[in-house]
Amino acid sequence: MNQIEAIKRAVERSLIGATASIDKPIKPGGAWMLDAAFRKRVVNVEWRRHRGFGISSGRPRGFGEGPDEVLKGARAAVKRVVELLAGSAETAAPEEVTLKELRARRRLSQSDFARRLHVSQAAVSELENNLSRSKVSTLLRVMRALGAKLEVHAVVSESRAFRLKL
Amino acid sequence: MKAIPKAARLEELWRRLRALPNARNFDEAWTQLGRTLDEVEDELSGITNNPSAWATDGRLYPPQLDHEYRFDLRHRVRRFRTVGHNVFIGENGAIQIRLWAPDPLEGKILFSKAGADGIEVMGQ
Repeated sequence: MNQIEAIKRAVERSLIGATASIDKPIKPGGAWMLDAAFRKRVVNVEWRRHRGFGISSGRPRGFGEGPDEVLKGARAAVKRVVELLAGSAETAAPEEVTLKELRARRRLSQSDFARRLHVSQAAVSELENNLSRSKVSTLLRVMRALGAKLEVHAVVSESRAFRLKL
Repeated sequence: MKAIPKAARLEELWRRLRALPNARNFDEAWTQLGRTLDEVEDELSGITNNPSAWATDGRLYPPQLDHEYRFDLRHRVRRFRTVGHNVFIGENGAIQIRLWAPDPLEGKILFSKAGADGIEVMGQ
């Protein structure tokens, strides 16, 4: 049994009445799809073997969009799928926010955040107002303190961009 | 470049696909779909093409060859998936895009175009 098949079984066991079906790719190494449903709620999971699980709830979406959330581990994916099927929340696409907005969403005051980073409140204020002047190592530390992950994208032309390995 | 909303970009995609000559085979249809969507997004989305991205970044991406799945209901039709959609492409070049549904033939049709022989995907 592979990971997506294990997720299917776990979801069906966790929610009595939930149904889940697997779309197996024709090409070896292709993406597996799991479609789970429970009481009119639908969640799709796309599994890419070396990248993790792309999760999307049933909100209307445009043709060609990617999954809203990506999780690395199967356990986290099961938990999230069950949460989405059993509750009323939907997955949401990532949005652009400032560091200050991200801190506020984590319900941290500037002074709390400063304590986590072992810096002064003035230093946090400086970070929030001049983020682009920060070193990558500082950004990595800041994201860890927020329980987040940092990704850096390199835009090489008008139509090409890559995620940098840090 | 001024970005326009997704719904308008999709309408532009359908318009451009309809304006193209009907594809003669799978390869032509596949190329038309991928190239046209990339062109629309390059011109109108305001978002750089990032093939390594996976989580949605606001840009619309064409289906990939490693996202093909079984479809036994029509012998000469291949089925692909993107999140929330089934994409059917016939060996005769016909294209059909539907919302995903447990029964693939029940999903609402968003776009459909016959191959160069005049036959639609589900007419094969």
